[in-house]
Amino acid sequence: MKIRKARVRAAQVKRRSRLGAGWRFGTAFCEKKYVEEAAQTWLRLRRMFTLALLLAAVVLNAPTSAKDKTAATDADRQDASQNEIRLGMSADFSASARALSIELYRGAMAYLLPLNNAGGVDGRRVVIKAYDDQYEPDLAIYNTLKLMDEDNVFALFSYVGTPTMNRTLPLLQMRHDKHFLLLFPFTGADTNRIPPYDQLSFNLRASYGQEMKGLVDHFVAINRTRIATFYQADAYGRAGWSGLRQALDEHGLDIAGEATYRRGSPFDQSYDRQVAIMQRVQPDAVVCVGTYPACAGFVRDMRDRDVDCPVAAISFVGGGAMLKLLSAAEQDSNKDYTSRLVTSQVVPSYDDDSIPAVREYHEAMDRYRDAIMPPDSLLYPHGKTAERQYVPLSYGLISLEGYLNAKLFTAILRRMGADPRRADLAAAVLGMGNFDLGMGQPLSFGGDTDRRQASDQVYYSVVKDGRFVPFRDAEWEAWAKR
Amino acid sequence: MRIARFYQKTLFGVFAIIGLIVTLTSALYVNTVDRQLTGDFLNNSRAIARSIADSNVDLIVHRNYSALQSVIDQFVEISGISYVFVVDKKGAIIAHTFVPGVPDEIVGDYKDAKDVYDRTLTGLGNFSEVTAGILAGEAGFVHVGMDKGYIALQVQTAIGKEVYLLSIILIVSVLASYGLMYLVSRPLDHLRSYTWNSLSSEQHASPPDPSQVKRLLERTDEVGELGRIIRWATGGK
Repeated sequence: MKIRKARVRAAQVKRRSRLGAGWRFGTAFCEKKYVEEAAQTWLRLRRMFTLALLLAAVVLNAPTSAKDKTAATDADRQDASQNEIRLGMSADFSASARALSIELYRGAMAYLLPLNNAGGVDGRRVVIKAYDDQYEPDLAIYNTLKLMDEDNVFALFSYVGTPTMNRTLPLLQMRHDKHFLLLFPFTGADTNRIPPYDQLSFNLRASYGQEMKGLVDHFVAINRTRIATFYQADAYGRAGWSGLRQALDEHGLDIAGEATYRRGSPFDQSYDRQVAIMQRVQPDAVVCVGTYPACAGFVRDMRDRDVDCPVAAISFVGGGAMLKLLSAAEQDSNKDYTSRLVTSQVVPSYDDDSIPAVREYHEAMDRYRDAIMPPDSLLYPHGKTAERQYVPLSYGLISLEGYLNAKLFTAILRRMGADPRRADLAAAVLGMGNFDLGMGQPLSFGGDTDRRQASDQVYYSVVKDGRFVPFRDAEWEAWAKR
Repeated sequence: MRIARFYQKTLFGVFAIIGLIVTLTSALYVNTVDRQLTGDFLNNSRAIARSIADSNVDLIVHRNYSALQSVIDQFVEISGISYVFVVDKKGAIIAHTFVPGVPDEIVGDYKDAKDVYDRTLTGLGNFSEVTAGILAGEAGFVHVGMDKGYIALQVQTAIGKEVYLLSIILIVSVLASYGLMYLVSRPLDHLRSYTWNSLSSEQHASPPDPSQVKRLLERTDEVGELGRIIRWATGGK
């Protein structure tokens, strides 16, 4: 609309300048008259031309629609002549949650790179078109529009974050005739798991509700019933808060206390105000629903103020990145920040070599370590500096999740045959039934309940010797409240 | 620039009237703007609360608190809106925008479903909080808090601009009145000087310029007429 108005205004200005030329350059009456006539003729011609165009549009309407339909079908199919399947990803590659997005991307690329080197799927490479949204919902909307309209992606893939996903789902709803789906977002929020947006997405991972239930069940079992939460003051934090509330409600309990922080808060910031709330509440355990810089800062300040109850962090926190920050802080202050810290995870431990998918993942990460980084233009939009430089993790739970996401998408794509169409994607996923990704756990889509979440499994890890290791059910007893 | 004593009282009277007009206009404006802007902010907040309450019933009923949080987060970006929180039918706060937590003053008093709460939150300031019922209060309430400091700032800014304008008008009026009075009193001064010189045998400090006298006597108004009478009375001196 704005563009149209601007064009009309430009045309008016142009017309005025033509009419005005006589007044500027000549004072003789005939000269002015000539200019006016010329302008009138030009306007008449212009009107006739516009009319002709309108008529042509009316006359050619039917064939044009047909052409449009053909084009839409081609777009829907991503054109058989194309030699690649594009997946669209919007995530934070340059702001407070960048480690999550970068690792998720690296993990996916660790699977896709060798796949593409070997010829892709039915001769088509699977590529990821990624944009940076800085964990800001508005940018995620723009990116999604670009991915759908300009890049004509086959599906949206591995979006990172709840606030961004929440604002993107209505867009998919609006374009439901184009059959865009969001596959395997890196969030356990309920928004894409319950109406009205549950039909627009598929998940590999368990939900935050399931993670919370697991944590609460374990804490309550060891007599830690006063459970407080530290969470991000936005949709993601609220999703975790809601899961915690529901899980406690099943035990007849309520949240003992809560403290929030603003999205994008850095590690260096003081979290004393939040810790003061915890000191007043005196919880038996605290569950963190945030990003790694804020959660690490909160744990540091808690331990500095001698609040020593167990702290749990859910999968989105990014255990690896949090551990990196806390370990560095431990070295600076000579304090213990990583004891009594447990994370819930939705993929198995990256250290568990007994799992076939983990072994494959290790091999790919070792081989393609540098080749799978996102481009610098994505990571450093304001220029690369030494202090902003991202040092990738060798292995991590998030890159493992990215790897598994890509592996699952490829498995689905293979089922779609040589002529994959976007419109058939949902049916193909639902048709997967029970399947095995080599994760050492049963996965399933579809079935009688039209499952859209493949895994319900939640894992737990604690820090031991500077790295996260699996935390078995029996080991929780050591944290029991006497 | 001297003004005839005759007009000085008039001039002071004009100044006093203009000053009174400016003062009364300012007072009326302050009162109107204060009431109107405060009312507008309250109405906007009510509209926001009503909009959240009416358009997100499904989210609340389905307990989609994450999506509900997304909705209320957008409203806090509006200038003047400081916080929003949503209470369910059991009286539990199910979504809010506070950092680092819900203030104690609110925790202690939010369940009465008053139409407007006037709050002073420690370390945050003074707020007017309006409420709107979700499904007539059956499903809960939406509370929207406005920073009174922000409203006061907006009122002060509007009043400041008005007072600035009125002050300029006052100064311009005073200068213009003074200038006009000077123009009016100058011929009288010339007439006084001419009369003094014509009727008195004493030498006046500044005898009138002949060209000034000529212009004075040629005037068609009462001053010129008076001058001509004096000339006639003194025998055309």
